[in-house]
Amino acid sequence: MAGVSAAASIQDALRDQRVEGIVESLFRNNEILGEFPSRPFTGGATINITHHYAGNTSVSTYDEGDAVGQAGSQSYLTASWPAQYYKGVISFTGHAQDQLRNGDPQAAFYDQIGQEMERIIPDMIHKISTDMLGTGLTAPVGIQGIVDSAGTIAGLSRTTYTWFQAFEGSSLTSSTAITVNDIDYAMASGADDPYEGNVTEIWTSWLQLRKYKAAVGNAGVANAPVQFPVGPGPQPIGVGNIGDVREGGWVGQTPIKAKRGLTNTIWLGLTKGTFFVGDMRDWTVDELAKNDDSTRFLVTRAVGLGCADPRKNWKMTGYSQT
Amino acid sequence: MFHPGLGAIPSAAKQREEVKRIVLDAISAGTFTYTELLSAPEPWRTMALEALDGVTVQGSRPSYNGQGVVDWGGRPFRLVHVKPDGRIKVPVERNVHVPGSSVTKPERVWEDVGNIADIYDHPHNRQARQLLFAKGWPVRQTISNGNSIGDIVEWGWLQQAVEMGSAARPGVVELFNDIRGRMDAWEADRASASAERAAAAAAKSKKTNQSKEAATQP
Repeated sequence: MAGVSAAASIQDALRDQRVEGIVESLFRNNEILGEFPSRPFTGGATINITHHYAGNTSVSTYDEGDAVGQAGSQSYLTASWPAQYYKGVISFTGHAQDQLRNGDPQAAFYDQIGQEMERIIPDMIHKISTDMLGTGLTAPVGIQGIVDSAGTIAGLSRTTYTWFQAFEGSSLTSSTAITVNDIDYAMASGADDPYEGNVTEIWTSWLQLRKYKAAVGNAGVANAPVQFPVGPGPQPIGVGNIGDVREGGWVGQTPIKAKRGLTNTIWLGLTKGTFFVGDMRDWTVDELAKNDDSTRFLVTRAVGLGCADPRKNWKMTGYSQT
Repeated sequence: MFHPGLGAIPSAAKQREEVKRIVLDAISAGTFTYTELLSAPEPWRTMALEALDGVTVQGSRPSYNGQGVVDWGGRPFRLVHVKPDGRIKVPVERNVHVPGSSVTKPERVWEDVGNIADIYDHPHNRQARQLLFAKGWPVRQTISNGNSIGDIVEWGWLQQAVEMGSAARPGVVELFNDIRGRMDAWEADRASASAERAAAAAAKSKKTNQSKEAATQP
């Protein structure tokens, strides 16, 4: 076949044909860093928070003429929240930089060098988020480790210091399926002395949220129980706007958030104002010494999840994932 | 457990010493109960738990030096659910399979240990203490001023409470009598199960010996 043909002659011209931009097909978890306020470290390896756990022991009644007795004092203990250092390393050989035109926008290729620099941070955020959603008691500390009734965290054993432990419970029935009563039980217990929480948000997995929504009552199901409006905003009287699972759920005025990457058998009741993200080192990019003909960069961040008052949160565990 | 005079002791360090003495004396006298300790107000509760866990406090920081930790000589605490059909569940860490896959991940599951259970209280896992703090009867009632009701009772405490007179503790005698009936049946079941296990082990051992003898016959 003479002349220009699509079958054979235009392959080189078409080789780099692509729609502008790159579609992100990789899930990177970023479910937690934006949820809590940042708190900078003020020196040292930990953020230290002093807890007042008992009042003056001299306080009592007395009668006329009684001796006033000894003075007492308040009782304090300090919790020490650590940070975890995270790193990522990027390296480009001299050949790669030459052929990629060092990120020159006039180059025929997409800016692979720039993309490496840009995408390593979501990779690190993914690692940080995964750790923070986890069960760690020492750095990296996880939210499930904080909202727990046992184990030592921030230097305090929660079986010794009972005022530092969160309420933890399990299903009230022999089944391990979530029920409305389970959440009410956790809420009531978590509001009870000595927990005294003011839970502002409930976190669970998408799986558990769907199960909860089914327990509340899905529209269209035969013999459905009373349908509570679980969607946001005011509901017309008599209309059960049951919404869908993407809208989250509600327990009274408290929103339920589904969190990707959270263990899918648990429920967390969070008093969000008690949590913080301790910032030891902000995002830092340092150029390292050249290694042969390669240019290297070190990306670092030091950060740690902490909680000023773990007891104001609750956790319900052991729910069925099937 | 803790006398009102503790508040008149002039320093926290001396208060800690006195609380520790009270706790250790109660243990050696056989009168210690977690129910009494956990129902105590702060700071006595914390000071007593520090004494059991061998924790010393320097300034406002605890120091765990591993010395003086109370391990109860390996003896468990007998805990009983207050309802005849109630079940005691303890949290345990297990590697749970993702359904249908060979992938496992560590998760907290709740193990049913029965209506009556002997629960250990190791220094590295204070399970009996934790159950009584979270669900103890009447620990929960005392701490919450009746707002919530516990459902697990420490049998040793209940026995003491009945012996010491129950006028000031409504419901104690009734609960004791209810549990005593269950306890007899539970102990009989346990003895029977133990005898069955021993008999099975003896039979297995005898069979093994016979096999060995048969194998060594010329």
